[in-house]
Amino acid sequence: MNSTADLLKCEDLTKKFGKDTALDNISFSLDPGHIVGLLGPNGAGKTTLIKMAAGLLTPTSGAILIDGDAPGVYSKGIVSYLPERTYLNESMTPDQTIKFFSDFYEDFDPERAGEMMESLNVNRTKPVKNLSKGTKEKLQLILVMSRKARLYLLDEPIGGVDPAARDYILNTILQNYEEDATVIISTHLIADVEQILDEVLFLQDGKLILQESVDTIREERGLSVDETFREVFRC
Amino acid sequence: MKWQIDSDRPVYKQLIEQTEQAIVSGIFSPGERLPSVRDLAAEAGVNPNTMQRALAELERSGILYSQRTSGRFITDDEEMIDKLRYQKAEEDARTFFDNMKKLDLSADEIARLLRAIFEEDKDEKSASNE
Amino acid sequence: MMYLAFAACCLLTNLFLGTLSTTGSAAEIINGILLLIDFALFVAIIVLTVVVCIERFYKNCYGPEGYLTFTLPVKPWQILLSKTLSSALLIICTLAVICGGVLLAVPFNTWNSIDMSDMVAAFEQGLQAVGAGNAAGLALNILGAVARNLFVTILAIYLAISIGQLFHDHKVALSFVFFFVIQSVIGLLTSLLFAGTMNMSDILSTYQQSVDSLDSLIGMINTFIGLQSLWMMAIAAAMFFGTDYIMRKHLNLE
Repeated sequence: MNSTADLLKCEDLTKKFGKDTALDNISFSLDPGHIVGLLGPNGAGKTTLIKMAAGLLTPTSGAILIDGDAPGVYSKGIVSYLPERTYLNESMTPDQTIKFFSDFYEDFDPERAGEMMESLNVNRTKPVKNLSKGTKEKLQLILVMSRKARLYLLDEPIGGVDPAARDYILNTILQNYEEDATVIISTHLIADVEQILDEVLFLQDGKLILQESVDTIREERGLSVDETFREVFRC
Repeated sequence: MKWQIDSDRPVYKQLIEQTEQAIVSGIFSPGERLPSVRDLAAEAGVNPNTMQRALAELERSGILYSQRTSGRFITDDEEMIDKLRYQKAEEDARTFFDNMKKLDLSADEIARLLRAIFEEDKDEKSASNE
Repeated sequence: MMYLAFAACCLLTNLFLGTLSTTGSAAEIINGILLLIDFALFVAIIVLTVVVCIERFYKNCYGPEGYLTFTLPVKPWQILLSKTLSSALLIICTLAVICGGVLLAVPFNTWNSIDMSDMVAAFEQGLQAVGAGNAAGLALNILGAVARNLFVTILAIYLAISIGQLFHDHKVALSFVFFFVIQSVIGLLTSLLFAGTMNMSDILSTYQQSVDSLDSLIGMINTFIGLQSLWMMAIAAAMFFGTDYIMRKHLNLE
């Protein structure tokens, strides 16, 4: 662990897909110990940024550093990534996915995963392809949150779940909180998550237009982050 | 305890207010040990850093004190708690007074209104004692 | 899975071929039909194997599962190696099934009248007649040649798929194109490299001329196969590192 490095740092990070610029000279850094909201309209570049931190996309120019290192084996070991889509091998059962994650990740806690599966009613012996969409999403979230990672990247974690499960998920994120870890939540359901955030990043058209603490936003504008967002991004 | 967080005011301020409220209304007793920051934050559904900020403020004002190994405690200075209680009462009273002024009630009308409510409350109390 | 079903069918059909009597016109017709089915099954199982290898690689690396594969704390070459080995294993199983099928197809009454050690002795005699040394050495050489061609083909497929992934549109079509390009390039380079030095006709003419100098012939054949092997291994390594490079520096999963 590099104790002097920021946990996540972007330096003039740019990502182009052909002529399309998804991220445009993004620069910011995040310390450990925060729950950060990555907010912005569709197509703003949130998922692109997250995928770059996860090591699934390579920069066109600029740099992205996790704990001082470019994405690689070390960063993947300390980053826990939850994509928006299902990414598990559909023929595995939840129990097999637990074993899989235990094999690959030193910081994975199989007991914790098992407990969460019980609480969220995930059938542990049915192959993933036979589970409902909502259950698949819960399963993936459970696997991601059962790791003791330093950077959690959650892309729309509460998008498709019912309110009870949503509260459970937000509560789990809070319970999981560690001072040396940071959680990035990318979502458009700001009102639901606002309360657990302490910092937000606003992205628009691939540019970073705001990085601020939640309390400062509320104090300076007298509005919630949700309302601020609507104002800033008013069509 | 039940936390009620509004969305348009800084969270840490609301946490301070509601913690003070809990102390003066007896939900937390003087000298009682508080749960950990993380547990409180999870209970309130707020970010632990924000809860930490609120608790730090309360420590600064003396309502809370912390001992490095044993955690955070409510002060057992009953006088301070009483002062806080009157402070809150005064704040509420001023808010009430401002609202009454907006409704254009005179000082007499306000006093009569309050007394009537008081009597009502006394009657209800003795009725439930029978 | 389908694969096992096919394998089972193959072996069963061949078993039938072996056990049926070979006399009588009815038997001949049945035999003919079974042979056709047999041939079809062989083709099918080979196709199935290739398709499975391609599909597994593509799905696991560049499909939705790629999100999991490439966020594991594992170096890309390790991923590539494990995929290559598992594909190789599958192909070897298929070849084993085919060989097993062929062996089973030999009618059982024929088996009884053949003594295995006689066969091996006859085989070795034949080999000595063409001056190829003992059976074991040649077998190893052939196995080696099969193995390296296997790896070269698998890695060529993987490289072609990975190159196809570099493009935005028509990734699958481009992968096919690149596969043929790669194979052509390999073929071209191989023939260029070995045209000047030696080829099979050289070996045969040398054989014609110097039946006595068996050693030099053996030496030539071994060197030929050896050099080709080295060349092929170099190509395999190049393709491996090429694919690893793409996975490391130009990964773009969407």
